[in-house]
Amino acid sequence: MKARTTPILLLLPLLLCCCASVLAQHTSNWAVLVSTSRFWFNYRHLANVLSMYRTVKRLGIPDSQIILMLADDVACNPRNVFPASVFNNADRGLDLYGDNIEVDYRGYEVTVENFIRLLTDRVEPDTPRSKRLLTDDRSNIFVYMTGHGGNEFLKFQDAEEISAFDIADAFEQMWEKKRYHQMLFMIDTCQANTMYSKFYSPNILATGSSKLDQSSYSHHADNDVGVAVIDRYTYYNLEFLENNVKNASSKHTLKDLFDSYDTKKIHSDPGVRTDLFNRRLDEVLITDFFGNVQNVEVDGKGEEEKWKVDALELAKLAANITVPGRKSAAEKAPVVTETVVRKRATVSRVEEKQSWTQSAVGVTALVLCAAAWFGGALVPKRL
Amino acid sequence: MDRRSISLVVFAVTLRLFLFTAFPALPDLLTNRVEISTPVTSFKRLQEGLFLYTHGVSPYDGGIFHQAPLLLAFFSNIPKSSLVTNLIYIFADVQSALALIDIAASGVSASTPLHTSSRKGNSLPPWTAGAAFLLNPFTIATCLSRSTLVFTNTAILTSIAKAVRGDSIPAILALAMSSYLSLYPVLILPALVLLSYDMQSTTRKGKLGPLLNYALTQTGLFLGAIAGLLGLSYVITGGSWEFLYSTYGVHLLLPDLTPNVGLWWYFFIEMFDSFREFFLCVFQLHLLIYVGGLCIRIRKQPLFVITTILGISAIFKSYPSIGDTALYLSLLSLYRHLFPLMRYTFFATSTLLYASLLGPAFYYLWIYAGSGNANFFYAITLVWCLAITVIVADALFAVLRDEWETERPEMRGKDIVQI
Amino acid sequence: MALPRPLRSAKILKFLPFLSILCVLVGVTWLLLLPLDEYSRNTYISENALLPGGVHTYFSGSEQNVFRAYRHEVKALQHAPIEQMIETIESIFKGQGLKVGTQKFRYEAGGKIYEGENVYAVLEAPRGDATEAVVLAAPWINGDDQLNQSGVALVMALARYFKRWSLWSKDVIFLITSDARAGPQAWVDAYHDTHTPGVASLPLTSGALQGVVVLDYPTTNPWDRIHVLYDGINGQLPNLDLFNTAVHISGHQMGVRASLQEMFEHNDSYEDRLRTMLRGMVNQGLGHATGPHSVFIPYHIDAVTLQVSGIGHHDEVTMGRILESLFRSLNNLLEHFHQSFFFYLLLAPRKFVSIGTYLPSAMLIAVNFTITAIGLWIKSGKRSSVSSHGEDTPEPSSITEEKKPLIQEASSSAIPSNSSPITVTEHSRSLLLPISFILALHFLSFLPLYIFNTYPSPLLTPLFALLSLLLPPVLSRLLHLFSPTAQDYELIKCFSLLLLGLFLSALATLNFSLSFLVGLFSVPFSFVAPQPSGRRWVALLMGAALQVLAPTTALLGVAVYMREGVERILLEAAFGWRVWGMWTQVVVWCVWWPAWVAAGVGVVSSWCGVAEDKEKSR
Repeated sequence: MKARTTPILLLLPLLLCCCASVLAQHTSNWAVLVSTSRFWFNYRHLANVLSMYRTVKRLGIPDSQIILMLADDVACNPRNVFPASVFNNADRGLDLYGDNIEVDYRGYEVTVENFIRLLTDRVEPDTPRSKRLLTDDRSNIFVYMTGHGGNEFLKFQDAEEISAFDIADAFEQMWEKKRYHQMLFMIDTCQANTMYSKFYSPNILATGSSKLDQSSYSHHADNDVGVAVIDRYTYYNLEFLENNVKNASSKHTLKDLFDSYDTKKIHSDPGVRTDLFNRRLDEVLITDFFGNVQNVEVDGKGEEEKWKVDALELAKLAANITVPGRKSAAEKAPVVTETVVRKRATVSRVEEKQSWTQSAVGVTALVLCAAAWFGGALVPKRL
Repeated sequence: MDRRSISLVVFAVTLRLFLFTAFPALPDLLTNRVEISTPVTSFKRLQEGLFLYTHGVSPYDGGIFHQAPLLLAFFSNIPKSSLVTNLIYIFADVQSALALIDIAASGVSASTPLHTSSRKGNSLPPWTAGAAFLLNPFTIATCLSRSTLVFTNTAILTSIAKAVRGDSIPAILALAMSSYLSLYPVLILPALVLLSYDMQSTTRKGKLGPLLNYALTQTGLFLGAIAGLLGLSYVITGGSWEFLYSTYGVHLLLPDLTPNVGLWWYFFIEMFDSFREFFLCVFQLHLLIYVGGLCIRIRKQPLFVITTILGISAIFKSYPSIGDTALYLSLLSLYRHLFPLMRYTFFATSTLLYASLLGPAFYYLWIYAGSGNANFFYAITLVWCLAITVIVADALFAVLRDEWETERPEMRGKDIVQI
Repeated sequence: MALPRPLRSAKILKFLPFLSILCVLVGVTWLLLLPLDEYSRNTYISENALLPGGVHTYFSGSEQNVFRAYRHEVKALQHAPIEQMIETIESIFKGQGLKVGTQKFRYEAGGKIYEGENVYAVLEAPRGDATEAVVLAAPWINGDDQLNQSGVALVMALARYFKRWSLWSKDVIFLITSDARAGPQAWVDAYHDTHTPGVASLPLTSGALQGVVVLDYPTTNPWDRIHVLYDGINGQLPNLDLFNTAVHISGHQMGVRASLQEMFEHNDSYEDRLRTMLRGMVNQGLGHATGPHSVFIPYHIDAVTLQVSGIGHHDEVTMGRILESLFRSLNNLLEHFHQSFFFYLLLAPRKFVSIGTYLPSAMLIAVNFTITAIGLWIKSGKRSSVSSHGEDTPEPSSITEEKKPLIQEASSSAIPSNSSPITVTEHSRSLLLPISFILALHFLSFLPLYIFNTYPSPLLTPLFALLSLLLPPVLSRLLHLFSPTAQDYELIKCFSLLLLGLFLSALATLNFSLSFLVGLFSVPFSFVAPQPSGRRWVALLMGAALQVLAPTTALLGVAVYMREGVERILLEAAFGWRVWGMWTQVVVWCVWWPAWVAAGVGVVSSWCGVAEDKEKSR
């Protein structure tokens, strides 16, 4: 009898935990959108990510909560027949680059290291807010990645790769640090489904464009731009979102989105991984990840007092720091400028100025060598 | 010096002068060949260093120049004419050849005080050793490229020639000079001390002290000479020890990964930085370990130990070039009487020839045509090193076999089978 | 003993000639197998950035009128002096708003003067950084001495058309050269500042050249297909991606069939593939310029020439669109062509074999010589049972090339040694005579090289053929003064073949076809040998075979193949040597010819009774 109850007892806290998490609502929405490729012929990846950017912005996530990572070498590429524009459709009805986009990590900043630092928030202390993922355990995060990948890896700009294990470990760290509430991971690359196969942290819902040993394909090319403009998987995701999720109050669920995937159209087998995610998909609104929520959680009253005390302390601290700092700065100022002046490198023409001393030293050295040589020969062999 | 040696020298000098004057573009072409000029011997870099030196800038600024300061003192004080420079290089080659002829004439290769080869009568006349050096295309190419390795080789050969005659002090001084110029000749110091000890003990029996005392004295002398040279260099470079890092540091730490015929450059290009120090130590120590073993095992023939160590360092030193191989092969020609005992001469010679043709071809494909890559050239340098390794090992086998046959004449001509 | 134990056995000696023959047979069969589907591959675009045929082309109607006007201008200048041609083109380019430069050049080769003038315009990429450029070129007079009227007009029309686009990432250079052979060379030399004194410097240049397309379009009639020329000087080839892009764009986008190596009727059968491959190999082996593009390739600039051929329904608009699309693809390049193959043999427009597959055939042929050389080396060391030397001496072998001559001295002083029955005893080899002979022969070879490249007179060939006939007997006579033994002849052959194998295998990595062809012609050298007096008819046959396979005969063969007179070929060769930097002659005279003479001397010695000695001693 005892043996039968113990497992239930053990499970109890876990169950409670689950209930709590299901009940608790998220209070903020964040999006991390990454295009990992660069170069002109990868136009479509940039278009993919900019399309997603536009969608989440349309549904209410502010720029301050969107981290956009992309090489950004396409809009102003000399090869672009429509300068400063990026289109995701050959009809060129919508300029993705047009109004205002805020790219947070650009060009060579799109690296595996920066991506993982961003996720785990292990950043330099002077990193601006726009480059940080300031989430907490009540934040829903939408992570979208696109680029060139393979079995359990995704290339970053032809220079390095991130592996499925790296991302899985980063997400686990985020979970441990209470950096997310729930997460939707979406990836559009070749063999995309392998990228989420290593996840092991809770509350992650993942979807990808193609299974192992499958390529993901582009949807169509714009023959004036001369390149493919969007990938199929992203295209049909967008199509669903544009047609059905008109605004942030849409009641469409992720199940609707996933059900809309059509292998025939996408030309590859999209995958969904739900085992880490403990909510029913037909209960999860699309806007839980793509839109913004305004839920505010009000803490107890004592908190406010604490906050005031903290602020006061902080102000004191700040005063203490600034005063001696200013003083010393004032003292040091002239010294600093002086050293700067002194250190300035002088550029001068070198001229042939072999002095007679240099020659003399050289000749003497040579003569000494010769003398040693002949002297050595004169010494009797007895040594 | 006999008539043949003189005509040989005259011919070699004429040939070099002819090549220098008839093909004025040839020296510059050869100077730029990675097989001939290395970062530590290149004439082009020497000129760069000279320019900086004569313009009052430290020659070691900029990380181009890695050669000894005495060379600067020397070249800045001779007339700036290419003819003079060429003549100096030709003279150095001739001096090397004369030293080789001296060594050959002494007959030490076949008969040392401790060992006399049963095949002694099979040796060549002395002038042929000089010819093997002077007419070797590798030597000629090195001379035409005005690589400063020429001076190192001259110092080494002079040192050996003096040691063979029992003049221990000049021998040590010359060795100090060659070690000062390019570090690695220091490896032959123990063998050289043994050689001059043996040679002196024959001339003055009983007067010589025990080997240990002798060796310590000689090593002390060597260190003194090196200290003197470094001191002079210190003065020449205007009171700075910077040259130590830029010359010997470069030999030891390999900061410049320009391709050459050796094994290091590719290895250290591919190496992860964290292992670099470890493998640098391993590679350098690897060169060192042969010295003790060879000196003990072939104690009776120190000249052959010197030859073999030079051969090994021509393969394994940090910046080898074909000039090192030329030096080894010319010393090996002194052991002509043992060639019949060597088993792979035809194979090794063909391989060397193949490598000398395919090396430039693959380098061309890699650098100029762009249709090959570094692996092509590295593969050939591996083959090149393999060929020299085979020769070194085969010569070693021949010497050991010869010693064995001398001890046991009845075994002559019989095959040895390992059971 | 110079060889490892297994090779000492006498059995292996009998086996080696068969191994040699086997190598040759396998090598040739290997080559013949290549056109089969199992060994060849379909071409594919390896460089992602190219995106061939990914753009709409807009070169059409109104541009056609402009083109016709330009063609009219060109036609009018047909008989005008070159200065007027340059002036007109210069003014047209300037009118289009392009920067224009001209360049005079003058070469002298084989006693003839080649001079002319190039004109070119640089379209600076409006949003590019001027570090890279692509070239569209057309010779005024093409390789067949026709006025390239549509070609030049189309280049000018495209210049005007390209100028209106703002999407260039690289500068586009439009180059009109006054001829198809010297002009492009002068221009590309001057572009890289490596020009000879007779050639003027360029007044304006752009960035590094990334690709060159030459247009050879003399006809005004509708045409049927394009013919892509791709061979470069000395058998270097452009990156396969460029060729593939041209074929892909013309075929897929424009529906124009492409052909190569003058195989205009190619039905993709085995024979057609083989013939295409062999024609490609001959062109590669000759190492000459097959078109104006060839001279760019040694500078590591990938280049092709597009020719029109046949009678059909395509016109200048199709060609204009092909070029437009091709340049859009080149414009997409991010760096040098590097993804695809540089060593390949094309079998059909969309079939190729890469180096790994075909190289073994040339290597096997080169190896055959090395095997024979090793065999001869062992054989020459074998002691005959009734030796006239009498003494049993250890064999003095050698280490370096330089020392070999010296070892001769030693053999006289070699000490006797007591041999045991276990070892295979060898007798001494005297190396001085064979090595001096071979070295002398190789030095002698500079003579024909110099003469042929400097004085390409028609008289030379018969004279030299006669000399070829007489040289072996004369040399043999000369050699006889030193009373050579059978062993000397064996060693001469050994060293000659060793060097031949050495050179050919090194050459195979640089110019596969040349190495293969020379190797094939030289195969008999492995098997000809002095014959005893009883079998002089064999020697006679061998001599005849050698005469048939002589370099001079090959020269005649080339003349027949190219349907040109011998004099023209020699002039071409002299021109190639002076202007293009062709190395084929060096291989022929300094590698092949000495080996041929050495083989000839061997055969002729049948009449000197050398083999007799040998037989006797056997």
